[in-house]
Amino acid sequence: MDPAGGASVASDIGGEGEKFSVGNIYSVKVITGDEFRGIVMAYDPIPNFVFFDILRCFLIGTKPRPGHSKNTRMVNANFITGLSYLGKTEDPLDTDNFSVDLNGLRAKEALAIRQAEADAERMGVGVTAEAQSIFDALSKTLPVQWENSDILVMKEVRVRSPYLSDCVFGGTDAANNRVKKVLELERRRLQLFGT
Amino acid sequence: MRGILPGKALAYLEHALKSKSGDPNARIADYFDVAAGSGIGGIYTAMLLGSRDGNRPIFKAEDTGKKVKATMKPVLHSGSSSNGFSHRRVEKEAGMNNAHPSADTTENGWEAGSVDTLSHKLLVYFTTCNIGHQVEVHLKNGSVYSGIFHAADVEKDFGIILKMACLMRDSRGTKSRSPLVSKPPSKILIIPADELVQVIAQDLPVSSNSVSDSVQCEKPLELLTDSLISQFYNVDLERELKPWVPDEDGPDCSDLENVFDDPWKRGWNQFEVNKTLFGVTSTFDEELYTTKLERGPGTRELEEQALRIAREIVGENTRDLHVAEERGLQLSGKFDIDEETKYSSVCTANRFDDTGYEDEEEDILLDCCNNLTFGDSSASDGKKPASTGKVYEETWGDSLHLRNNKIVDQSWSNSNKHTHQLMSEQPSKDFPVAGNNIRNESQLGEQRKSKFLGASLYNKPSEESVSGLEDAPPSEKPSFIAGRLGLLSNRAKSESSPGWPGSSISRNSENSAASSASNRPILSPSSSIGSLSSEKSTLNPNAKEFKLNPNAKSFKPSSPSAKSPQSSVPDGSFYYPPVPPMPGLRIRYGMGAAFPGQQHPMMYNNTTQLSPNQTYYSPNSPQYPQQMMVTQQRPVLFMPPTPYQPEMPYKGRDSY
Repeated sequence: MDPAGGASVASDIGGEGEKFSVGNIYSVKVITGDEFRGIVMAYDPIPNFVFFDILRCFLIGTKPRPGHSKNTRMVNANFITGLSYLGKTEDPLDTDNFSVDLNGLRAKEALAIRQAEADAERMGVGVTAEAQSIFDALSKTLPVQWENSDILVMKEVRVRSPYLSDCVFGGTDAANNRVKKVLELERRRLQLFGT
Repeated sequence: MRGILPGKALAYLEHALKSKSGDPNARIADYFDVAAGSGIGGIYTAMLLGSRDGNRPIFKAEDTGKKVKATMKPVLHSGSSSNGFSHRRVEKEAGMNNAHPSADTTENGWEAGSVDTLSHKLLVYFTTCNIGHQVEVHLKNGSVYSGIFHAADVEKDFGIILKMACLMRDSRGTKSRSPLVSKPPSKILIIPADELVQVIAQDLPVSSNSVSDSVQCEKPLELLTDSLISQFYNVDLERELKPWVPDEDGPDCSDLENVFDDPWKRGWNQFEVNKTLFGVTSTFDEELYTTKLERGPGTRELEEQALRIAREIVGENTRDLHVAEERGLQLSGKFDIDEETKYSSVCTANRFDDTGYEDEEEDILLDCCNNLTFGDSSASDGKKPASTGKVYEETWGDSLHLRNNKIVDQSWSNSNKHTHQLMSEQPSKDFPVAGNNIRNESQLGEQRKSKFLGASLYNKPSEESVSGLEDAPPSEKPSFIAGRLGLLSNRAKSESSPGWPGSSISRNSENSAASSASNRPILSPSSSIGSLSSEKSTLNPNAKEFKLNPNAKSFKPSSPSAKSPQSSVPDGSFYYPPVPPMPGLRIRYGMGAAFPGQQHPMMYNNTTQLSPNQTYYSPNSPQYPQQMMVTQQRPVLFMPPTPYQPEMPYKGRDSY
């Protein structure tokens, strides 16, 4: 099954035994131009996907970090454009420990999603990075939310693009002034830090 | 999945027509004049009735269902998030069965031990580990998405699903974030396998212990770092530290290098300098603050004795974690006791945790506590010569001298009271070794307990003048044994331990002279900052009950060269005039006359010389009469630079 556009894999098989057998180390180049080196952790020819453990340090003799966490890539082997065999390590897998806590994973996922949603709330859509940093700065002390490309502070004061102190509208005088002041100071601070 | 069942129905219809009519080539089109359908039905209609040659339809009825299945599959898999294909989510769970070696139900008849299954399982396993993790997905067209890995189609071709996916880089390769965030993150993003190039995960936990750990670590997010709280996103990455090398053209202060090499021989005399520069004569008299050392013929022996005792102490074995560290002993085999356990003086009371690790911490802490409480049993056993490092006194073992029993008579402020810091006005003599200020909370605890008589009398507001309240710190103990230079290890103690910030401790060297020697109970203070409790067992049986004597004169520190006679107040009966709380206010009490008859030159270190009959009028504080009168000869050390309060923040033995 050669998917449309998939390049053929140029592999240098000599001496490595089975292709993509677990423990082999390859230097891989993919169709998008990305390159990396990794140890094969798993490979399944049916979907033709390889799971690599990424090697940071490029010494071949190093043992992969035992257990714990790895930087990994799951690569569609159909899109591997360049593959060179670098060596082999002993079995990097400690298969005794291989059990997956589905519930834990689900919980982790749920948490991550909540986090991501909260972050997404904070992100303005279609706003400049400068606007976003102003928003972030304001949000440290004031309750802010996005309303299209306006920043809505305390639900009453609106800061329009380009987010200067004269773009602050609405709200009571006190609130307005406060937002203006905070805005000025935050701008100054951002300038200093050169965000 | 639409249309498959109707397709089957049509196939059956055609089959029935064929058998009923006996014509194997019969088609539905032969028996129906009109056919119509919408959606998939329209497609079927076209298929069943359409013909190339105008004669026979192209498709058979049974083809309809199959074709639909074949063509719909890729359609189903592809598509953007806007399609409501969530129901097509192919759950990892379905594939999870493969991962367990025992459940081979979906193996499709493959051998359990075949390589293919194993590798498939492995792949499935690793892919599962990705769930919930933030991953970066590269697509064939060059775009990069970042999102939370949700599922993958392990049965088929490993198309994946991401949640909350943001486009990091679009297909043109430009980083879409830089000027604008163009699109909100997609809640669900389905990526078909033939678009998927790679899925990159950082710090992916792959083994079961790490998986569980990481999940559990998600929960206690109470541990927030400052950057998190302040949402400081410009956190600098760590950089490698390099040792500082001075600039070549910087000033060459080479003599600064060895400033600290000779600590005691620097030849710097601040008093001299002051005199020269400012014309200020110092009235500092060391003996006001410390026990006067009798230097005489016996001095050398005494010093040697003291040193010996000090060595003993230092060389003692100890089970106290803190002490061990001081002495450089490796107390516990575990190197991973956290800092809190090591350096905190608080015994946390989590006695109910079951982990062994915690137990060990507990034990260690308990040891410390116990030692503080009950004294190190090996206190004087260790005769190892040790370097005379700091004499770290922690245990009270046998050499507990109880402080001045007479001092028990005095009230002394509660820890709750915030009195002025009794600074080091320590008339008792210290041994040379005892020059180190050593703190021991437990001591104070002991002291408190032992001294606390008539506590109710002394629950005064904080501003009481603590005239001469003496907790007899042990440093005095030696001096209180007959001969003043004790044999016992000098557990010198500083005046106020941090544990009792409020307690005013001043010492009365006279008082404890005789009595302390005889009294060495082993106290059981709480080593943490405990509350006062007067345990009778720890009290000095010889103590007199304190009675407030309103007419008593204040105590003045005894010094052999003391100018005026001792006050008539019996030693140790200090009193606290009930003073209404006024910040910094000391009201003289009990002296009757506003200006005492005594003449004591009150000497200040500032340029204004004040005769005792003059009140010091501070430029910046309210005047009130007679605050600063010192009744007896008592040099008061006044520090001009401090913001003036009419009386010093601390007055040791003054009465006011």
